[in-house]
Amino acid sequence: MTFDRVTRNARFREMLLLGLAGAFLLVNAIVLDLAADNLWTPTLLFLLWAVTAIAGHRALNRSLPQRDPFIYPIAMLLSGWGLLMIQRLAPNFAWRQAMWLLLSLGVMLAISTLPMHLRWLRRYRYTWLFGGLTLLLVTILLGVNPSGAGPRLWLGARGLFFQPSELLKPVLVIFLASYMADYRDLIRNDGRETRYLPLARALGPLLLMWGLCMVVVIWQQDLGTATLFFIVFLTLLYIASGQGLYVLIGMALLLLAAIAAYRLFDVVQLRVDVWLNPWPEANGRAFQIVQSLQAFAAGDVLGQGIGLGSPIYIPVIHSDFIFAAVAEEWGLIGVLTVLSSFAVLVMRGLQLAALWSEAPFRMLMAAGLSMLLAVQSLLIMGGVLKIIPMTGVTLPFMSYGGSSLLVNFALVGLFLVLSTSRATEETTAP
Amino acid sequence: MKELRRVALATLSAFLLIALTAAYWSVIAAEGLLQREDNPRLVEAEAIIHRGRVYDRQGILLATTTVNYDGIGLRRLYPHPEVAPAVGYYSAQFGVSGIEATYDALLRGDEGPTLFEKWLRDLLHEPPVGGDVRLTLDLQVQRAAVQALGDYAGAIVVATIPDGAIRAMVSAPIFNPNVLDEDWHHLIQAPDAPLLNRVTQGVYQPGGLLETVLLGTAIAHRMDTEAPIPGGAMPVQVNGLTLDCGQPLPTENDPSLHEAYIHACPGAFTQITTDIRPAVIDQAFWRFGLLTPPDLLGLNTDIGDSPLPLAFLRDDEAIRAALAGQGALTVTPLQALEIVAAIANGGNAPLYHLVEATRLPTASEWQPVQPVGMPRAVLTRQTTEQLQTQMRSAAVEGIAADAQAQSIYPILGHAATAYSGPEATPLQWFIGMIRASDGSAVIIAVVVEGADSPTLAAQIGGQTLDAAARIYISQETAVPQITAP
Repeated sequence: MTFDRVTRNARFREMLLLGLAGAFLLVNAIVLDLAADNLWTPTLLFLLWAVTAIAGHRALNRSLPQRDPFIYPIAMLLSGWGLLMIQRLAPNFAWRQAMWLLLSLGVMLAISTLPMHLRWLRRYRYTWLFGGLTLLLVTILLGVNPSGAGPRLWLGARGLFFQPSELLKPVLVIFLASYMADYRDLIRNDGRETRYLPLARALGPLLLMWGLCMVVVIWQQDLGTATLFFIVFLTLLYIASGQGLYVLIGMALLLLAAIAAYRLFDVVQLRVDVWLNPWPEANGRAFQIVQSLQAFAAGDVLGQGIGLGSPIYIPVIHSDFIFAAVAEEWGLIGVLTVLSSFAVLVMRGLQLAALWSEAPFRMLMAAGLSMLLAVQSLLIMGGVLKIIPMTGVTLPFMSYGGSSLLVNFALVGLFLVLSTSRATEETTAP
Repeated sequence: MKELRRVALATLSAFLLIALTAAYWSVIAAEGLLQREDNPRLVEAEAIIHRGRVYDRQGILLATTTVNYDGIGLRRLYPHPEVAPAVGYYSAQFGVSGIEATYDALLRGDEGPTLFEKWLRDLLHEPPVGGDVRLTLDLQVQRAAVQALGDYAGAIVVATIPDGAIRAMVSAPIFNPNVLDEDWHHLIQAPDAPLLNRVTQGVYQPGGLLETVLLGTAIAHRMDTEAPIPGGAMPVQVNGLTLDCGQPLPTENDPSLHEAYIHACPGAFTQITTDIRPAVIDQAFWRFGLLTPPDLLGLNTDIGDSPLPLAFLRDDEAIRAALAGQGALTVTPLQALEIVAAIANGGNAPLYHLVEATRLPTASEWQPVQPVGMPRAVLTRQTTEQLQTQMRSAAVEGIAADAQAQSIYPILGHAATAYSGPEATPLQWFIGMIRASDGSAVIIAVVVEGADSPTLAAQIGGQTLDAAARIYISQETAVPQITAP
């Protein structure tokens, strides 16, 4: 099979997948039109999505012709599905989310046109990280909450807000990947005599920077993001070092941190209490989680159909609990579809990491970004299903939130670049 | 890299755990979650049910579902609130009662559709449509009974013989089920308990109501009911009460049991154990259905506490109290109706029923509802005939004469007084019937709370019986033939 033919097949496959996603979304948009008497708004949103999706596909054909054919359609399916859900659950936010989708695709396409060697990411790792941290520090000082109450995690005004902690997620992964790639031999220590001092020298700045991030995030009481950072860091450290012991120690530390957070923060105490036994307080503090579980029950296997269920009983449904809305209106089938989409996306990312096993930075970055998506989606889905306490993170691509959407499409852009480039300069440190 | 493989495996396992947990809540634990009281979807699902209709025997609409006043959602409408004691109420907030409760599954559309049809209905979000119920109740008779009872608290139950069909069921004070949600707190706190269906669940002292049972027992055991009973006209002292004849005897002679019955003199009946063993009287109470809850096809019927059998009583006053209907035995108006039903039905207690037919939501034909069980033998035909004669005498010249005064039909009946509670609140009872030559009859039991006049229940009963007889019995066939008063 010739090179062009492979490329054409991949493009066709991507277009086919986008077509399937589009058909699914079109049917749902029409049903939502009919069910909710929102004449044409869902269909208009769909048309916007379709135009954007096709434009993105064509632009990517030019910038990254040999990209992975699964990543972009899955991201578009999830974001389009999320857009319709937001129109169904919180119509006032739908057009704003649509604008964020346009912007996010712009960012993704911009990343796809940047140099494929990604040295610009690796070389300025401290710059990126300090930039992110500075934004976060500014948020601590000047942060606002668009809803008027709650944690002040946003920067912005006049209806346009951005959450810097979202930006910090990929920045931290890039920093960790870059640093661990540089000191991989030292960290890995494959069967050789333990060299504690060099290891400490290698891990010290890493832990310091990571600790700094954690402190800032905890300072903002954004404990979900802190947990996400910790687990991603631990996973990357394991991949880089091959030491399972780090994972065990890390898990023990996480447990200790959880106990401390339970004692220190009221919000953590509340979330753990209602996680352990929500039933006595089903009409009080545990209302949200009990309603979420009832949404799963109401959805059964086939779901109620878009616009025909009652997920709006769940407070903040369009953000933290959008997965429960999927469960109620698309049933177990919808839940499994979302799960499979995330699983495929994450596995494609990990596959990219495996493909770049000889280029540590790219391998670690692909693995880190995959884990970012995996852990974030697992944290929120696990919380909604009462497997773990609620952490307050959003469901990537689907939940309402422009910052989250933008950053997730930036990840998609990086995945697409990683799936295309064949650079070899990774074997040496910059 | 083995680390990447392990991470991928762990991640996939986590996704699998999510999938399994979702399946658990969506399928395995779903039923329990959805039935929780804190599930707001229950109210929503309830609100879209197009509940079926309830009709009276002539097809007059008694309950239906209609669009709400504001044009949004559905509401239950009761065009004739006076049937509330039988039809009951339906409220999404406060539940169901009466026929609305007994036939809830049919009315809300759970009966009829197959599992597949239900599944398809749910899938397409079509609102459930309920089936219909046609009662034996007759709105005309019901209205007459309500009108006759007026502002008194009490109960009236009317049935036809031999089919045992309930034609009127009045429990006063009556509530209006159309405004139940608004009135709820007032209704459940009201001391006169409007939500209590007194016909089936109101337990009362029987007082002189037992005289018919005791007379029947005496006749059945060949006691000489014409023989004078010394002191039979004397007042009876029980539990601090003085129980006298319901009306003065025409002579000063000792009355016979027959005369004591006609004029409602408890003294004669409290001496009946001289001739009849207490165990025999216990059996009579049981045969007349005074010790068991009557079966009214699922409608919740009640009886008071089971009294200690007469045969076990050693105290003379306790025996006197029991025979005077002021002991531990209490009865509901439906049980009182059982007494007269057996007498009207040639000695056999009929099977009562309140529902004539049902219709599934998908069907056009009514399916008749047959009472389950066998009529119970209570008295011999000979005893029945003698009791009918005595009751006719009571209505012509005795305690129930006020009933006859209300009707052009020949009434057979008996009235009695009882006292209830620590304040000895008087209760007035009336049981009666109008018979036809073909064996059919209209029967009634009335209880009026807090009324002093011993003839009040008879007047109310007579008025109601007359209204019912005009529908069910032609004057030409009424027995015994009499001329209009």
